[in-house]
Amino acid sequence: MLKITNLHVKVKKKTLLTNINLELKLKDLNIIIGPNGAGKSTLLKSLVKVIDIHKGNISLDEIEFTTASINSVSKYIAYMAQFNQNSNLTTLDVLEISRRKYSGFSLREHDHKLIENSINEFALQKFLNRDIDTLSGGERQKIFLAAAILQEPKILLLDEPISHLDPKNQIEMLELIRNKTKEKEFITITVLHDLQNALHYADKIIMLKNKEILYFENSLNITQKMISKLFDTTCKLFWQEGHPFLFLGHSHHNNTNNHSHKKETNDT
Amino acid sequence: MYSKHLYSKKRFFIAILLLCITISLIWISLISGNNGIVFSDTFKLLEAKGSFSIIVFEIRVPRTLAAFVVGASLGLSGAMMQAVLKNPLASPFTLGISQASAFGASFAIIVFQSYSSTSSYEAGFITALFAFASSMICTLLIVSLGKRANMSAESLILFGVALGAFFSAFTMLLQYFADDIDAAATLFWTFGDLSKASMSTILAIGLVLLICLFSYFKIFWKFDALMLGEDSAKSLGINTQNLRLGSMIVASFLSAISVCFFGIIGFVGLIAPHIVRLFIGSSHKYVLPLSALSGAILLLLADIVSRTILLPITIPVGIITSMLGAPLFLYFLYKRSSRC
Repeated sequence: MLKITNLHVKVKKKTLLTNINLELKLKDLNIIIGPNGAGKSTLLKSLVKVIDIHKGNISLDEIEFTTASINSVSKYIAYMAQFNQNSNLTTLDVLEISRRKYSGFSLREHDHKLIENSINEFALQKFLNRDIDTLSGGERQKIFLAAAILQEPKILLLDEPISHLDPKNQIEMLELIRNKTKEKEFITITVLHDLQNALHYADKIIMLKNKEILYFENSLNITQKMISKLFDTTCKLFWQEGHPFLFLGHSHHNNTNNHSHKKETNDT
Repeated sequence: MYSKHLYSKKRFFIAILLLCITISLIWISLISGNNGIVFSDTFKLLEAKGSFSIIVFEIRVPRTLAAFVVGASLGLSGAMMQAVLKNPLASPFTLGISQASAFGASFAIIVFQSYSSTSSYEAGFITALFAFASSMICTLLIVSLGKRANMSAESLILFGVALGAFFSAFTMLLQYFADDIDAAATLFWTFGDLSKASMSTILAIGLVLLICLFSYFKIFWKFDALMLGEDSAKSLGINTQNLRLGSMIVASFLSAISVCFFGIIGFVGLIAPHIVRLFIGSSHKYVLPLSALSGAILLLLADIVSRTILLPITIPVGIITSMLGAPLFLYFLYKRSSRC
């Protein structure tokens, strides 16, 4: 269990997170939602020590993260950043980086096996020697997810892993994240902007607003009231056959039902 | 078991190709002299007899070895700087290290009057010592200033450019008040010149180069991780500040020790890593050693040109590297942009 107690984060005297308390379980996919600037990315970064924490405690079971070095924390946590810059590296280079922190210059047989499995699982054979800068957004995100999982972490942190992806790739990516979380028993924390997908795929939803946690709830217990409060906008939420349907803001058509119905009949 | 066939064979072939070019350039360097390139001398090289072998072993071998170790040092130094600063403009020259070196040498010649000492060997050594000290002061200034500004890559480059201008200004000030002979001596010192080569300096540079190449096995992957971004590198457990700090000091040391003995040799440190990355990408497992090799090739080539283009005059090699380097650099940039 990942336990975060009374976490405060300050950067250059500016408070970015206050009073964060969370208890996250194994095999759970936790999704953070919230408005821009709420501190979603900051929360992930402070867990992996990219940002120093000001106050509070982070521990995984018996292991204390608060005082540990960045190097020892990195053995338990894999982090996939929101933005990636041009790197001029090939797919294989990127995958190998994930294992080198354990093996250095020459990878061991065990590392090669893991890399090979990952190549097969994520179907990366085609791009192995391609420069990742020349690949599409979806392919690149997949490679970075594969690289994060290759680190064999206990905790997987993903910052907007499906931004810039088309709907099909979004679903594929989220299925993959959910399945891996269950299969490898990760504690996964993902920042997502797509609420529909967040409610659909998450076990737990973390709602962040104004640098603190507004709600931390089972995704099935989320109500439209909570989401209205989170984004300061009207919201309608329906569940149909296990799929959430979410409508934000006001309708711009007086007879919305008519309109959508007409469209459907035209299509068929 | 996933095997080597997954790897690009291209990188391996390019490594072999560069090695072959280096060996043939060393051979050409040994058979070129006051009469240009004399291919029939190859047989005399193998015989190693008489006055010819004295010329070869006393003059050409040290010169060739110097071109090799200095070129390799500058290439490796440039590759390390460009990696940790994530800036393709980083090189010993743009970071002010060469200018600081020139200031140190000018100070030794003009203020300390090092050339009036008894032996020319001693004079050269004292000048080199000042040049080295000055360029290390420049490095420490950049690093300590950069540390206060959170060591961001951009600020380090800008500090380097500013310090380079600062040291150049002081060099000019010294030259303005110096007498003609001293001013000329400082000017000639700045022309990078391989004829100053002696076995002891070559050994010193070679030793530093070897130590750096060995430490590369430990840290090359951290440079790769840095390519993925600062946050990603940190999340892999890398202390990016220390990596940047350490690499800057090592890279500066490498170029300072070359520049202090041989003067300013421009463009090699800038261009060698660019050529390598153009062909094989940014995997530093290859970029670091191959940048050293490309640096050696560039300087060997420039040295051969400098000795043969205006026979029987030998031009200082620093002039040739900049003359050849600038168009070559433009060509590679053009090639890269036309490929995209």
